[in-house]
Amino acid sequence: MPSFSALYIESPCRDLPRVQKIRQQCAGLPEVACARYGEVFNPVAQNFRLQKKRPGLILAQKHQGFVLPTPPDFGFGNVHSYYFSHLLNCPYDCRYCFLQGMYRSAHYVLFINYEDFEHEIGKTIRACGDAPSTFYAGYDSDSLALESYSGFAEYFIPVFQRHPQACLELRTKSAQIQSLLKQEASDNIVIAMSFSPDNVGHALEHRVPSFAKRIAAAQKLQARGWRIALRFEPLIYHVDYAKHYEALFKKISDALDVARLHSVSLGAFRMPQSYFKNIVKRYPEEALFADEYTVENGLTAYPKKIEDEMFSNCEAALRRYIPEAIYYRCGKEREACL
Amino acid sequence: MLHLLVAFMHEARPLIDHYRLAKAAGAHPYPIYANDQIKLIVSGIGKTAAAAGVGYLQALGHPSGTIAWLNLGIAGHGTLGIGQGFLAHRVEDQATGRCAYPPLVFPFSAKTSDLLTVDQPLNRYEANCGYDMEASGFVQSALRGATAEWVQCYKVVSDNPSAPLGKFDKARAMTLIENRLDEIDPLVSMLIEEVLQWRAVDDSDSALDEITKRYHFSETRRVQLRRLLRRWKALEATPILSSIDLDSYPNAASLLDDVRQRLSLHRLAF
Repeated sequence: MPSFSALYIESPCRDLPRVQKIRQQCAGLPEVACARYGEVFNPVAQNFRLQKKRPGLILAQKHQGFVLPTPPDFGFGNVHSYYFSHLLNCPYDCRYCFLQGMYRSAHYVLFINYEDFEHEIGKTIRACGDAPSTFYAGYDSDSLALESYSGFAEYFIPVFQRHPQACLELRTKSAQIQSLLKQEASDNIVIAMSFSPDNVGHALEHRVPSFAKRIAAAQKLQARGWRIALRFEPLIYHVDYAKHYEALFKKISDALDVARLHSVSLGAFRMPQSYFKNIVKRYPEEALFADEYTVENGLTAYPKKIEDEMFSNCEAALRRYIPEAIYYRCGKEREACL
Repeated sequence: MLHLLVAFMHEARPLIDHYRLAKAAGAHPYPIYANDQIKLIVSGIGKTAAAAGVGYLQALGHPSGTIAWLNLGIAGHGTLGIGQGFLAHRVEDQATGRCAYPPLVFPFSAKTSDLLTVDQPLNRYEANCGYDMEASGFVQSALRGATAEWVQCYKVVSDNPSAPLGKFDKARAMTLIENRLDEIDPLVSMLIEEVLQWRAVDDSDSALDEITKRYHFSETRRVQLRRLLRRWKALEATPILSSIDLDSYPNAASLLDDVRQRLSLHRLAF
C-alpha cells in the first residue's frame, strides 16, 4: 500500500463524494488545497527521483482529452483503439518504464470525475457504430495498483459490461484483485498482467508484488472466469536472457490454463528519446541505461540487431508454451485477437 | 550544504549557538555565519530582503552540488498554539497570489500548514493558516538554484487569535526558536543527511577532471567523455582511472575510442 506524503485537492472537487471517501482513508495526512493540479504537478524545479520516495496524491478533475487514440501498433485491438488515463504515475518503480521520464513530478494525479470519462467513452463507442473497439486503461499508470483508493475497476467494469461491443484492457502488475473478485467476469474485459524473469524483476521492478503473489492472483481470476492476458514487455537484453525468458514462459504456462488466455504479447524496450534522456539524468548509476541504444524516429531502443535477435529467440521459446493464434508482437505488427 | 535564512538576528542567535556557527570572514552586506555544513544568513524583514539574501548566498558560491534551503523564523497562525512549530506545505504570496508547494518527501514528523506571506503585519487570522513576511520571496528565489524538495520553510508560532501580534519582542523571538530546537535540530540533521546522500548520486565523476587535465578535449568530445564515464561508472566495478593507463594515449580521440571499445565488450547481467 503506498504511503502518500500529502493529499493535494483541487478546491472545486473537495466536497465530491469520491474525494470525501479518499479524505477519510487518508485521515492524518497533510491536506493541501490547490486551484488546479498543474500548480503542484507541473513546475519545472522538481526532482522526480526524490519525490518517488514519498509521492503525494493529487485529487483533480480532468476537463478534456478523456479518451485518446492509441499510438500506432499499440496493443491487440482492432482499428478502433483508444486509451484513457484516470491516474498519472504509478506506485511501482520499474526502472525501464517510460513513466520514469515522462513527468517532472512523481506525485500521483487521480482524476476523480469518472462520470465524465464514462460519458466520453460511451460517445466514442457509439461513434464506432457496429465496429468493435478497444480501450486501454493502463497507459499512464497501473490500472489496479491504487484500486483501494480509486475504486476505478469497481466503477468502470460495469460501464464496459453495458457496452459488450467494446473491450477494456486493465494492465497491471498488482495483486490487488478484490474489486474484480467482487464482480462477475465479462468476456470484453481483459486483465493484462505483466511479467519479467525473476532476475530482471529483482533488479528493475521495485515495489512490485512478488511473482508468487501475482501468479496466484491470475490463477484466482482465471478460476472466476476472467480473461487473462500476458504481457512480456519490455524484453530486457542481458546475459542468458533467452534462458531466463523461456523459464518464465514455462513457469507461467504451468501455473495458468493456457487454453483460456486471451492474448500474449512481447514488446521491445523503446521510448521517446526525451523521456530516455530524463531517465538517464534521474538514474545515472543504473546499468540498464548504460547499455548501447540507438535512436530512430525519435525513439530510443536497442540496436535493431539485438532487438531482432531477442524477438526471434523469445518468440521461438514462447511458441513452445502458447498457441500461435493468441500471440502478438507489440509495437511491430498487430493481429486482432478478438 | 544547508543554507539557513532567518529574518532577525534574535531568531538566528539560538541557531548560531547551537550549531557553533562562526561569523564568515570578509565584508558582507548581511550577517553570515557558517560551519562545515551550514551557512546562515540574516536577511532582514520582508520577502524582498529574503529573496535578496538567498541571491547573495547563491552568488557567494559553494562547493558544487546540491544545497538544501531552509527558512526559519517566527510566524502567526490561525489555529496552532504559541510555540508550536510547523513546516509549510503551501506558501502563498498574498500580493501576487502565487503559490509554491514544497513537497514533503522527507519523513519529518512536524505539523504542516499553509503559510501566507504578507507585506504588512496582519492581525486577522484564518484557521489552519500561518502568516509570515519572508517565505514566498525565499522560496521563489531559492527555486532558481534548487528543486522544490530542497526548499523548505519551518516556522514557530509567535502569535495567534488568542495572543495577537503585538510589538516585536526580540527576547521572546529568541526564546520561541530556542524552545523548538528539539524539532529544528532533527529537521536540520535530516536535510543535511539527505543532501549528502543525494550528492553521492548526483555529483559528477572526478575522473572527468583528471582526464581533461591530461588531454585537450573539444566541447563535443567532452560531452562524449562525460557520457562514456557515466556508462563506465554504471557498468564497471573498477573505477576507470584504475583500469586505463592515463598516459598511454596519443590524444583525446584515441582515449575515447579505447573506452568505447572496452564498454562495448560489457554484457549486462542480473
